[in-house]
Amino acid sequence: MSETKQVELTSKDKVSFKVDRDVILMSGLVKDMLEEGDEDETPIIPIPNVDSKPLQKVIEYCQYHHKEPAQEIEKPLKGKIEDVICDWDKKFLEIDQSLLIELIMAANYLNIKDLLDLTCAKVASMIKGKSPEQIREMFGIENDFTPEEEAKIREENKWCEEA
Amino acid sequence: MFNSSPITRTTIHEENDEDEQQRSGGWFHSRVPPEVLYSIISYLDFRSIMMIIPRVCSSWREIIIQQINTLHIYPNIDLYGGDFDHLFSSEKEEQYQKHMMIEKDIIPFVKYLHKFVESNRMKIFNLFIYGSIQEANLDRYAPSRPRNTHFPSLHQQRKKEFSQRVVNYLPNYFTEPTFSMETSYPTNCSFIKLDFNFDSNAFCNLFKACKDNLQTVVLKTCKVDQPFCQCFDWVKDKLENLVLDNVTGFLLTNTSEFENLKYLYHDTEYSIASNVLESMYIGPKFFELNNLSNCKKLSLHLNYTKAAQLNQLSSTSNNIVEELEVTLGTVQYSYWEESLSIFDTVEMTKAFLELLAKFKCVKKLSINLDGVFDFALMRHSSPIFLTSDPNLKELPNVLELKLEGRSFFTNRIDRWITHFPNIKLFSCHVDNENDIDLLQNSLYSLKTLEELDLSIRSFSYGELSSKLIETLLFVFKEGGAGRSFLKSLCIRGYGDCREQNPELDKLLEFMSGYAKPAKVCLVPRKHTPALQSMQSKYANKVDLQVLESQVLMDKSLENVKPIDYSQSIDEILEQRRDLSNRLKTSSIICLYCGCLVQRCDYSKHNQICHSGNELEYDLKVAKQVDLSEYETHCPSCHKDIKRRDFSTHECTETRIKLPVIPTSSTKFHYQ
Repeated sequence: MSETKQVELTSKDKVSFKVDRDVILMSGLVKDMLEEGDEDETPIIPIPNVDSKPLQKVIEYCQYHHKEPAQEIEKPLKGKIEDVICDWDKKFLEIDQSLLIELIMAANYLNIKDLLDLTCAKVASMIKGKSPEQIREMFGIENDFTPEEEAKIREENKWCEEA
Repeated sequence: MFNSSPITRTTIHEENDEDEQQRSGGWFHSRVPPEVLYSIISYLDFRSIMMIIPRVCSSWREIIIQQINTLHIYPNIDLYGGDFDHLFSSEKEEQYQKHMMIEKDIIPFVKYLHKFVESNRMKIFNLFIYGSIQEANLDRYAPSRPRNTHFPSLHQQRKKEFSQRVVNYLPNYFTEPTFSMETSYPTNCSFIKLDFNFDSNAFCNLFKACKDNLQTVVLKTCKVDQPFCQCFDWVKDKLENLVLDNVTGFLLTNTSEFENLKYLYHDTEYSIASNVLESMYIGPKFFELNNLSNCKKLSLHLNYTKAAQLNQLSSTSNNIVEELEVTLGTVQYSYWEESLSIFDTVEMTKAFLELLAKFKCVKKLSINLDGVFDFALMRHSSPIFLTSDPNLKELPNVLELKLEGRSFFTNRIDRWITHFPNIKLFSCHVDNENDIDLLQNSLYSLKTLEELDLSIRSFSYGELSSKLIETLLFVFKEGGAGRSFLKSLCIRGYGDCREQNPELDKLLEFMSGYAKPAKVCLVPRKHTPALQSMQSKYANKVDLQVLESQVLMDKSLENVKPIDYSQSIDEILEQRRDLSNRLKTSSIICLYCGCLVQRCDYSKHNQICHSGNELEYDLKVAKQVDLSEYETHCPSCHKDIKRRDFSTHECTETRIKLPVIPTSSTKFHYQ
């Protein structure tokens, strides 16, 4: 029987995960909460903003990277994201778009900077090289510019073309 | 044991409208808050940020207008295939011609930015301009790993400090200052330097659109003109950070009005021939340092500087600057040979010391002597540099002293260091036993010393390491009453690979007696069982980090097959070329900082992060100096290799052989 201290995380959809305390300390939010609690017990920490699926991915990430610190991703991205991250991260990011966005939100909420950087860089990599129309289509964003704004944008870009 | 799988499921997550939205993708907009979207777009190329994102939708546009406070101007990387470094290995004339188009590439974007910033009334705090297509990414040579060390390289420290200094900074490695340790930043392609004169109005108009809030201006590798310099009149009362990194033509008429300038980084232009007229010198003399009444941090890279020019920098004592970094040297060896006589060297040294002595309030002092200048000082038989100085009085305020350069020891550092009686942090490197003797004398006089950062750069690392440890133990244990505790110690290039290491054991035992655990970092040449056992032995007493320098080769090299010499000569050569290329890009750990760098970048990494001990960095210099017999030491196999052969040498640690064939009968010389 291991003596490793654990914490229990409960997701928005009421799924519980037991995780090593050292592992989940990568989360700034959990770290702050644990500092306030009693160390002798296995604390139960509700994560009301994160569903079980992204939470499981978050735990998976922490389990790997708490011993193998992630490399910083340079800004701006040079080439594709796959060119600058490790093999494990590449595989980790093989997820669908909606889960990726949920993961970003989870990383943001749980305050896990390395995971937030990784997932944001992944989305940036998806955006890279695309036109505004393609970006709208990818994320289902509505073109909500007023005719005046459209004219202004045309004017800005006309200037550029003339130059 | 932990269990990360779900252990309880009390509620089934039911499909709702949100899921429907998710499938359609429409939910992105409502769920991703502005700060996260900003984080996403910050990874994009700056042209995309400013030209694509504002056209997606009104909320994305609003984020750009409201949250982008930093402008980055640099060549369109897409136009050059996205890889600047690659261009200079290419001989294609078509690409070569593109180098000449840099102004035509940049100016339309500058005009676009002017229009966009002005019409949307953006608040711009920081303006970064980089006018070249080469060498933008020094991170490649100075990677940020390892993240968790207590002892980052000087490059890492400078970079971090800079990002903290700049308000609302949006990082971009193209425009970031180089923070290079050396003075010989390459200018061999100076003809492609962005020339503001191409369309001065474009830059001036943009500057005008930003002037109300501008706090930071970073100009890197460009040639500015007088109208642009006059634009600084608009921001003289609010500019806080000014970086001039390889900038030509920067002339200010009156620096006394830059009352809020807190940080000046000045890497002077040095593309001036040795016979240039004094009047053409474009350097920091245009900053009368005493006039910068609030500038607490100065980072001066003085290239091609002569004694007279050094004297112009500061006419009277300066009581403002608290952090001073000075790099002093010449760049091209030919210049030094022709123009930097022994007399010049002595005069320059005296002027330099006089300049240092004027900064009465400096608390952190970093001095880097560039390779060539350093060599010039070492060539003198008597220690002229640091002992003959009558002007340098005690500098009691200096708490941190970082020295890069070999001539400090040959110039009797132990005597000079007495000018700094209150040092708490000291950093230098040692090359031989004599250096350690002088270091011992030096440490004796530094009674207040608490932090020590040493690099061993010698081929007899093992003996030097054990002697160094003995010396430290002797000084700090037997150093007499009133001596401060050694709270942190870093030794880079630690080379004692014995199975038992009693000296280190004693030192750690001594350091483990403090109430608060001391920090110790070793970057060893090889990870040994002795070091491993000490890590566990002193686990709770000393915060001991051992940055392993064991061979870390790419996985792609693990299954390399031996070259089959029964093949045709073309096939053999092809296989060797392939192997050679793979070797060049394989990884290796730097012995001085623990960073993982590519083998082909090792020399350059040394130059950038650890000063001018790697002259091969500038190939032009290398040619003139004739480094054919000049050797370097392989961190993997510990052999001394001619520098030019380093990246492809036969490294026994990897078991990869590059035998010296073909034979004379083939009459072929493999390059």
